[in-house]
Amino acid sequence: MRANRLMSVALSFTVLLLSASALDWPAASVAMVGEFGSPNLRVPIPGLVLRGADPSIRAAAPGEISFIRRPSDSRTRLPSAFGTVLVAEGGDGIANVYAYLPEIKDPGALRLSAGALVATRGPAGLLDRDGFLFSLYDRKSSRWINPRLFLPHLADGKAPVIRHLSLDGKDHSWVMGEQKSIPQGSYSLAIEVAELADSGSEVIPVPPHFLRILINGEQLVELHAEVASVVEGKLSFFSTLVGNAAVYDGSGRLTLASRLFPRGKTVIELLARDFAGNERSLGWTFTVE
Amino acid sequence: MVAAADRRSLRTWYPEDLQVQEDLGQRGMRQGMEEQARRRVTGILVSLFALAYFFVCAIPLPKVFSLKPIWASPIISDNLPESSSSAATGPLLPFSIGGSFGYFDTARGLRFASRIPGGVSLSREGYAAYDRVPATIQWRDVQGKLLFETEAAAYPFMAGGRRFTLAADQATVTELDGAGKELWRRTFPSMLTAFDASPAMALFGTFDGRLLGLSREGQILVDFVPGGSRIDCVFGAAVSPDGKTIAAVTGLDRQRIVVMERRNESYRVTWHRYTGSDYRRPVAMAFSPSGDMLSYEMPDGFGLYDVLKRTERLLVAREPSHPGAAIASKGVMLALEDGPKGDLLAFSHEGTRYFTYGFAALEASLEIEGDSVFLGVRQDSGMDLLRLDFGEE
Repeated sequence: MRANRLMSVALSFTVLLLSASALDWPAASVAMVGEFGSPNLRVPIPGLVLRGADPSIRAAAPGEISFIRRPSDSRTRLPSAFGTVLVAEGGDGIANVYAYLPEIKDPGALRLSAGALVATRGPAGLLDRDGFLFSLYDRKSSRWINPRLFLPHLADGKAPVIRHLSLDGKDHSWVMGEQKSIPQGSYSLAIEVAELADSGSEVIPVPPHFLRILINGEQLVELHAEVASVVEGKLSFFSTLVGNAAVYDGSGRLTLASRLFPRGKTVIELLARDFAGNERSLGWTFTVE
Repeated sequence: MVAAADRRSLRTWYPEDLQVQEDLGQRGMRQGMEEQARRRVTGILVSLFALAYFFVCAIPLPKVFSLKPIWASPIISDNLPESSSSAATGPLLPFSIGGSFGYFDTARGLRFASRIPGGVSLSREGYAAYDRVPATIQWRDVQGKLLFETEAAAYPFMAGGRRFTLAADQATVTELDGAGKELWRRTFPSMLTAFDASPAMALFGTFDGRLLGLSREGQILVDFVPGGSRIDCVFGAAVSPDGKTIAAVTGLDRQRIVVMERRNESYRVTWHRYTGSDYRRPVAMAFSPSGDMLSYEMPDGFGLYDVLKRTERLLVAREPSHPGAAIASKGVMLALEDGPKGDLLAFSHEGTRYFTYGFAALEASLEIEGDSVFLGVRQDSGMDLLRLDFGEE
């Protein structure tokens, strides 16, 4: 089952890489203000929140406009937490989604050309920072895709920050580094990783692009934050080894499946790597009694 | 001088002629009598035919309706009218127009009005006004009294007597009970694009073309992808008050309308049609209060689908809004036509146009209670609420 899952992911990515049009950043001199899966008002962002040096938001790729929703549209009782949202079909079942936009003019045509002005950035929708959302949705597999897989590389010399690793049991949570021993039992690993903002002082919770955890030298999980899909009513990120996919809650906390920690000395090693290839690794040693 | 011979011949002729004339006269009399009889019979037959036609072939005269103005009330935001200090005498109904919202007393007029901060969700049970990024949501009743407060960075919305919030991902919905306690919470497979609710079912449509209906306990009652188009997306959704019938406008190239009815414990498609439309934004559609008629936007007006007969009629109108409004007791459907010259159109269920009530408006809203129509009208000079009562002549 794991092998099948690996193959399907590899195949999906191969198809995407071969058939998807190359993307350009939808804003000039772009700054990342929200990574794929990082929290926005207690829910994970299913894309990238960006901010450009100038407020123009441009089409990252050509596409057919399939949906526009403005908050003022009273034809539906459903509010628009995404503010104004525009979806353009990029081909091969991949939809380019632009959201948290202020009011936009009627595009006047069904096709959006690459680089065409989509909107001018402004406060819109349920977004707690200055920026807009850009994401990709794979209609065929019903998954959000991290656009960083297809966007030009952004230079970044800052390694991820591992803020927290704990073992969460039914009644108690053990934070690594704060005690030398824990009772034997089943625990789920909870991890918080963050990145330094461009300003250098603010720490932004963010799921790492790549995460590997070893327990006593054996690989527990290897996770790539590249796609996200809804499983039983919750947004989950793909994981290669753990039986259940890793789950993000709205605060940037990554929770892995529960496992039994038997008696004896235990070493946990964690490696986190961001999209730019910057790595951080940490280890903890404790005794299970 | 006639010769004697001629006279004789005449005398000889004359008696025969006289006889002929006598015969002619008698014949004439007979003919006259016969003619009279024929005329009498013809007259009787015509009368009988007319009588039969009157009863058998008569077409009823069309109904004639009138709209009688009852009151007009100016809308001035954040300025409570005098009537608000006394108890309401009629039901309180919501309005939202020109960046303002509030409630009016059906008997007297405006009760209160406020500017919309970031957004507002209105219903006949209460409202919730909120900032663009709210720290909390205050849920109030129609009088403005605080019912409860929820601490959630989410947008409130209501329908079918039910309360929901939508999170920042446009996909996570929470339903609340009357005290603000969470009943269920779910993240949908993709961005939500359509919604409607009745007490029995909350129906959601997604941007990748899925229809999901949930009970008040959050159980899935229907999970269906209509498909059949090059691009799947749900643009409009409606659920009947009893939850037994649902409808949606879905897809691009080609776009279609789908109606599903509950059969035992599952929902089956009972009617669908490719509409020829190409809407790429939300589509208005709604069931009538009785649930037996569905109205929905169409390029040249709107469609009326009879749920019981499974037949459809297309009614011509200029970009109508509120296509589902109805005066139930009179069997009249109403629609507001968008545009600088707002028209209120009245139709029968069969598509007969009764009348058009014209008025000038930059923006208009419509509410109905019993046989009364309440128009919100925004013009350059200001905003007003009007009550017009339907009468049948």
